[in-house]
Amino acid sequence: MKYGWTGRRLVVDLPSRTWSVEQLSDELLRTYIGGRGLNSRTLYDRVKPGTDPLGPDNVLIFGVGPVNGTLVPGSSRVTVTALSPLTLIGDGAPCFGDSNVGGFTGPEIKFAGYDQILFLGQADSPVYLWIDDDRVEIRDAQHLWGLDTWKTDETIRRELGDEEIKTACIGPAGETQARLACIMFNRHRAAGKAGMGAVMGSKKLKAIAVRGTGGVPVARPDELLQVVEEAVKTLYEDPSALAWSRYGTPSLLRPHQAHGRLATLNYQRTQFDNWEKITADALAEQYWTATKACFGCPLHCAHWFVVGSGPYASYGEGPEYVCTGGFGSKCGNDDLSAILYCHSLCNKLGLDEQNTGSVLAWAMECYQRGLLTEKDTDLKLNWGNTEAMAELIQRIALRSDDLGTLLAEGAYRAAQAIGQGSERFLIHVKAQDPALSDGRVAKAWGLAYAVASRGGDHLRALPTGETYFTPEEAEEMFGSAEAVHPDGVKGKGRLVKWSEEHRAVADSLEVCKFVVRTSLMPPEWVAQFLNAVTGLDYSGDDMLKIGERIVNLERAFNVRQGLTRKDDTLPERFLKEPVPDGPARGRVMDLEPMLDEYYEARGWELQTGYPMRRTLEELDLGDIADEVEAMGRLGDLHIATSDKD
Amino acid sequence: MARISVQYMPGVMEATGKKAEIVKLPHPDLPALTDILLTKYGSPLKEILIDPATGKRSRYILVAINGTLTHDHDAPLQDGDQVIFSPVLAGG
Repeated sequence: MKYGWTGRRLVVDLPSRTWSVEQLSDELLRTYIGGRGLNSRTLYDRVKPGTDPLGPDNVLIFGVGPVNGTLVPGSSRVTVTALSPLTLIGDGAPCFGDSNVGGFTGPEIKFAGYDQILFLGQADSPVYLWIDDDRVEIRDAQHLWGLDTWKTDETIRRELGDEEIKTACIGPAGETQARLACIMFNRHRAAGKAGMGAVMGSKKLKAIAVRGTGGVPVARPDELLQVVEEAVKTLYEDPSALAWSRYGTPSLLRPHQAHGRLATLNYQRTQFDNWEKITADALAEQYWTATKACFGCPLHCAHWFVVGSGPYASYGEGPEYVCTGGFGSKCGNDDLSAILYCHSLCNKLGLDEQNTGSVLAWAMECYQRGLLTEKDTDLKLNWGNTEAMAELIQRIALRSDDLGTLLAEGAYRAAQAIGQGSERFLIHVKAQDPALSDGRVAKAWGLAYAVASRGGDHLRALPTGETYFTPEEAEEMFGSAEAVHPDGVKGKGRLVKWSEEHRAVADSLEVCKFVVRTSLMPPEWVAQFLNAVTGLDYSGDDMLKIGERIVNLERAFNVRQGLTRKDDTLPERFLKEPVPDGPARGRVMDLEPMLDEYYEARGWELQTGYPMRRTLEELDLGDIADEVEAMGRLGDLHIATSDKD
Repeated sequence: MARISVQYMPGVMEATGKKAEIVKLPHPDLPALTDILLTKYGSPLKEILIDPATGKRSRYILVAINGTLTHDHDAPLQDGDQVIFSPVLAGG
């Protein structure tokens, strides 16, 4: 390929501390695009069932896409992929894992001349990778081991003598292989999902440092300018762009409260009494001092905060809604300065704050119910106890005592250890926290959580169409106007399918989903970006087919690991406990009819959730159909719901 | 006279300069409420609420009555109802 892609994969063998460059075929790039899609194919081919996610046979993959580093708005992203040490399916097998992150490192990898970096094996002592265009070094990192992510970033840039170097590193949580560990990019952007930081720690890979000075050849620059100009104009026509740019994702807290779907006290409620103290406008009035943007983004949804004094003095970039909700309403905490402090702690220690907020909220409900006591924990874990929250975050990252070690395993494994019914109020899907929109109230979101390929997650589908499309559009696109009705059932499965495919493509171009969801930018837009950069001629339908291929590939990976229909479920609280009060009072999630429709639309067997041969072959995944068939895991009958066990 | 509690979400509240208010309506329905608000806040709100191509409510604006989204642009209202005007804000 002459344009967009570099066609190069950097392969780093950690045990031997050697590296090589492989050429990526044009067919592979056209079929999976890059980023998430290409990473997923690499993971499928390289990691087989029985692999220990924290062992030497797991791989760690950083992937960027063909439009990274161009004028395409939001073309900043990078996907990190590995077998997840956090998520679980089947009889306790690890699940597919990846995490997507913005900032500036993704484009820098591209400028250095690589579409993908693949790490194999484990180093015998700490190392970091230094990429300076074509010059690659695997350097000793003994002096960095034990440092937090900010000090690591600072030390690397100082010792390499270039402030423009972009980094991705783990903190102490990754070193202790806490399953909640993330990878921090340039201090402030987190690849948080699925425990990717623990995989990096298991490889004794402390950091990646990148400096690239190349460009990205664009096939049709005039066309790209025109498409980008129209796209930015369209983005700014949507008032949500104003909300993102002024308030970022914390703007979501206010509507979540108003609609009664705000995770509160570990989802015991869906509205928070003191919500006004933790809104985005409160952040803007008290703590934000500037806005920030990732590479090439017209939305600039990030902010810089300063808590100038007091016990929670801190500073940094952020926070996101997963933080204000996760360390706020979900934990019964209305102290905004403490939320920011916990956020800063997580970033420095290298802990994913979504799953960390989840495990704290679950532990607090255990404390409320007397399943964890002060005697057990040496802490009063009552709702809103910010001192205890900050203390516990450090214990988790460092595994410094029994409780921290237990919670570092994630809420699911901790609940298995504690038992006593604590599993009933555990909020997880496949052992990962889903997000902060209550799945009982936002039903397409609930379905999306249940089927997401990397465990509980709102970003695999991000089904904003549930509120955006008109009933007439829903009828035409998804077969039923109910798809956009809050209490509807029909059409939700097809809506989630369409959304997953659209998002998979954005993740593979490595364009921010915030860009393609604002104004509900359709697949045709994404195709125009890709075509102008690469010179190819994809249609919107081509985009959706590639997205469908990626979703099925990840499904097949999980089926090979042991996934069945019983794994595609939701927390018991969402399925059985009606929302107690507020606008959504009485709602529970009736998942199964939506799941049936989703499976039918996907061409997956209703009873097992296995993809059928026809489905895989139509997506050019015949080789995968052969493999899962040999394992007895190919769906071959379209079994009706009434015939299910 | 019906008293309607109106809330403005981020992306809309910049045009009204407030986050919430009570609006009194003699004939309570969404068109009447929208007319009063457009008269009160003028072009900054009109630019957000109204699609210039159709003269109707912009598809980028969601309206919820008592916490439930409605696609009925002419929906009736009752005394004590809560109405939310919001962009499409979802995610995390």
